Amino acid sequence: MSTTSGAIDPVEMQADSFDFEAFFHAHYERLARVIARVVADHARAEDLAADAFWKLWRTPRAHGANAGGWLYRTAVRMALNDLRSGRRRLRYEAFASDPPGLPTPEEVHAAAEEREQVRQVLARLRDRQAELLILRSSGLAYDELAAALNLNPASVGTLIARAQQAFRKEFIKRYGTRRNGR
Amino acid sequence: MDVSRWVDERLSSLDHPGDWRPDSPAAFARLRRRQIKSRPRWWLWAAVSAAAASACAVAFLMTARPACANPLGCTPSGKPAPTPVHTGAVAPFKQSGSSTAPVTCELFSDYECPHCAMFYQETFPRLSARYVDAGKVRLIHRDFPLTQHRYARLAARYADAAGRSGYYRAVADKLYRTQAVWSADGDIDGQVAKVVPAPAMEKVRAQVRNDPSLDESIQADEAAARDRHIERTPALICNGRAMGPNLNFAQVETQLDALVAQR
Repeated sequence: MSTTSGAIDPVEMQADSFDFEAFFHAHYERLARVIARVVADHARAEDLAADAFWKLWRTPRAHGANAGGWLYRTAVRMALNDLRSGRRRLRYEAFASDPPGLPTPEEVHAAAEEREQVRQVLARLRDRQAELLILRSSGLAYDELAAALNLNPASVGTLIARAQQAFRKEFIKRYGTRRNGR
Repeated sequence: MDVSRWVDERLSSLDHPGDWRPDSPAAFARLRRRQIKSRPRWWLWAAVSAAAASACAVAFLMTARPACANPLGCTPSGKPAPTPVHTGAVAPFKQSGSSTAPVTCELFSDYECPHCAMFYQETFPRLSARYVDAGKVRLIHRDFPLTQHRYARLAARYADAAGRSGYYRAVADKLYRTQAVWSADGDIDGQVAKVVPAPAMEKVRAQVRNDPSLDESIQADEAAARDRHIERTPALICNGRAMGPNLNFAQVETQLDALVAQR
């Protein structure tokens, strides 16, 4: 198997030769980080990442060449569902730490407020658009996005542009154009 | 305006501190324990399911009523005892079919009930095509949100409000098709907004928020359910008789053909 820890490129493997343990260690850390950007809670992110791997283990048909894509797609949907369920509010910004440079309390508050606004807007977008933006902003390349979301690689750029337009429109509708504390 | 940059700047606020490192070995150890635990549990569930199925079969055989001449089932007196259907309070969009149809059916359903979702996707389209559209059956939809379903009443309010703007069928269909999604996250509004145009959606939202008549309509349906001794959903009552017990199309078809033939 030829997985790398930084990418979800289609791995040369077949279902009957799927090395689940190697796959887990290759992807777990990155996956948990992607989820944490959505749910704002490290412990919850690790729980959801483990649940996504559990689902993968229970879904043999996904143990193929695009197991990485299946996993990221499933994990981001679970994270969005968690975000929309409102459970996250109980642990609101539990993991947020001060940005470098000893910010003022006002800056910390503004940053936390903007994070919450961004998450609220993501929760309001269509699933596919929110998934695209989350994975794109988590560092996935176009071909990785295409693999994760079952998209035609040639149309990824267009779909991202539409998702960005939808995000901006929803954000401005809800919060205006002013950036908090900036 | 560079939209891409504008969006990236906002999404970058989600970046988390670099000192956090997910614990991959510990997570894998937990997953392994879960995998090991799940194996005997499959067998346990299988054994419990088999025992429960046996118990149900025995209970059914012991309590089953003797057959009677009526193919639709027996009433306590051995004669049909139809309950009059009062349709005056039912909104027009919840009624379909000819008012002169020989059979009037009331369908009691709960948007969050999985059996109702299955009924709407498998039986309902064929029922509509063969009986309602053909003028044989007049169908009245009634809301019967069960208390154990957290979002069922709210879903009924959305559907009824959308019905006033002409989107009842579209919304009901959407809610049943996406039941697994909104019953998990509660975002009924998001699903409804996908099939109702924005101006109408604003009216729907305003009614859902402020219009008590929506609840009155649901309460009237619940009262009708109590009158007819409905204990589960979906329930289909045609000319006062309960269809089923299984509401698959084959069984409903047999029972409705018998009712239509009586008229």
